[in-house]
Amino acid sequence: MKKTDFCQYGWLTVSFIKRQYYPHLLLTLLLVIFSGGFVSFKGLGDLQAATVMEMYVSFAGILLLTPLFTPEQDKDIRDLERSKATPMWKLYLLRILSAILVCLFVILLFTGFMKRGGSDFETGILFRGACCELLFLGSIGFFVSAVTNQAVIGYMAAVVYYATNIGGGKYFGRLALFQMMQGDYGAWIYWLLGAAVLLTAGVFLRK
Amino acid sequence: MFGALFLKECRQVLKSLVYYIYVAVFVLFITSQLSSEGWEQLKEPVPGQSYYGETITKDQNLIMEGTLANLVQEVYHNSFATYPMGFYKGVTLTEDEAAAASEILELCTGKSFQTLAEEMTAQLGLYDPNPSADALAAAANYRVPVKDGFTYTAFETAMEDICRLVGRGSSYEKERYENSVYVPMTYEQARAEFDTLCREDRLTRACMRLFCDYAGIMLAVLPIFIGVSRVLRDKREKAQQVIFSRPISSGLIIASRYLASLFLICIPVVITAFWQQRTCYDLARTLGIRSDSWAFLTVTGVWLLPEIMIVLALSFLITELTDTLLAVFIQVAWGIASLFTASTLVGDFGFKLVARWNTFGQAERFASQEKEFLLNRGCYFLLAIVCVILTIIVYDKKRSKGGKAL
Repeated sequence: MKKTDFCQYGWLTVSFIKRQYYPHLLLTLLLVIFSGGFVSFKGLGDLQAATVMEMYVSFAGILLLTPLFTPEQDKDIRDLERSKATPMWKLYLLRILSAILVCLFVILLFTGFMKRGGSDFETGILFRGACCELLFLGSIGFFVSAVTNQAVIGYMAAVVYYATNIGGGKYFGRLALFQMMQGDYGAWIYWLLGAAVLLTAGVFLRK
Repeated sequence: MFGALFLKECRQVLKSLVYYIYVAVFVLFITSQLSSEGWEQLKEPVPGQSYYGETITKDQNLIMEGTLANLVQEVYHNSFATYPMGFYKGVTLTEDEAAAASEILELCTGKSFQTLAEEMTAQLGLYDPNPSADALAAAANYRVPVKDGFTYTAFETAMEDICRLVGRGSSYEKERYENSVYVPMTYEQARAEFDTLCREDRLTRACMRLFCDYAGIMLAVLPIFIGVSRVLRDKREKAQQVIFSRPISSGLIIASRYLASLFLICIPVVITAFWQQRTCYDLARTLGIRSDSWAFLTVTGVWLLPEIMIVLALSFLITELTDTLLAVFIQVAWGIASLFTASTLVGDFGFKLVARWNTFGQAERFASQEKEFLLNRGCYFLLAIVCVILTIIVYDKKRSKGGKAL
């Protein structure tokens, strides 16, 4: 990648964050700031730490990945962007990578909170599982937004999937959420594959 | 004019994918979660049964014994369920804090914690996911008696100390423990409960309260998406300027839009309510009970209509005000918080958006809380009207500014 390309893509990402994405980053910040009121970080074991990650932190995936197509919901903007030399898929890829980076940072932050609270859990395994689950849940919103051209339906699908998994996880097989808090850490690969398929399909549909 | 606009708005909602997702999710949720076990297994209580179910108690001695039984279990597992901001928060105590909690238990009971733990495991045995009636009776009968001369005031002070250790929203707050200790029902109590169920609830009303409990959970969240999507639709379709230029008042536009959405949201609710009531209605006929055949309209109308109204009206207002998806985040958080704030799944209405009644029957208990329930629903009904009026004002202002956000 040439230096000028790098600058151009950097500028495009910053512009997206400044104009469209910052409210979602602020909401994610609120999710972190108020976390102490909703979940405890003190003296957690493996299953309790997984509960914090799966029931609470996973919302960050919905918040960060669902709205990535918001600017292109307007047909005029979409047509204008398509007329430019920069391929659309590169634009989306940059946004996805930015969102994934923020997701990783949020998970790292919560892992740190729990470790500081004297919790004792398998850090690597939980971190891996949480990353994949967050990505998968977010990619549902992302894909549905891509198909319907409406972020609101993307949010609806992700929230409904989350809610249905509370008590209805058996209907989703290995792609069910909240498996780690029941002691099953093997679903990460399915979540990761699911996320990869949905994200790729979303980008392919919108390019 | 209003009729034509209303029909136009209905067509707009029916063209929206969000509406069909709402219908599918709502119907699937209700049919998969709500079982007819409650009324199909309904039997007249017979003297000599080992277990007749449970009922809440106001007896101070029993409250102390039941609360301490719960405390022994939570200290034993070092896992305390709390709801400080509406959501479940599991609290684990440090070694010093756990020791302090054990000391409080010893102070209340006059027994060492080890003895209390041994008594508990002997009484409850191993965890059984499908407990028998005897096991249920044993769990319901598990009590930890206080030591001789231990007063209720001393108990209240001890529980305040526990609250300081565990944090806000635990089962050891006065309001919670005074409304959450259950005792096994006697034959006479079970008989009275059965009679009230047949006479006052006429079966179908009890069935519809249970339906409303489940439906209320989904209706706290799903209508938000319909409201947000409908308000943003004009902007997305670039139809705002065309609508603004029409010689129709803002009040008429918003009122027809709101009522059309409300009407269409209510349709699947009424149909599923009627469908669920059907089995209960048939059972009542078999048992020779004169059931209330309109319960699917009257009970759901009072219970769910104000909830749908406020959720929809607030989503209209916030979206019209901000032109963003902000309502989704605020209202989903409100809905989930309301769901988890309840100290019990039966009653405790307060001003919660989701009114819970996760049981079949208990008519007398419902009658004792009916005023609180009606106040709750009445307030949301009025608040919804206020939100619609505010939406009309906001829309009118935007209209006078040519569609620019306020």
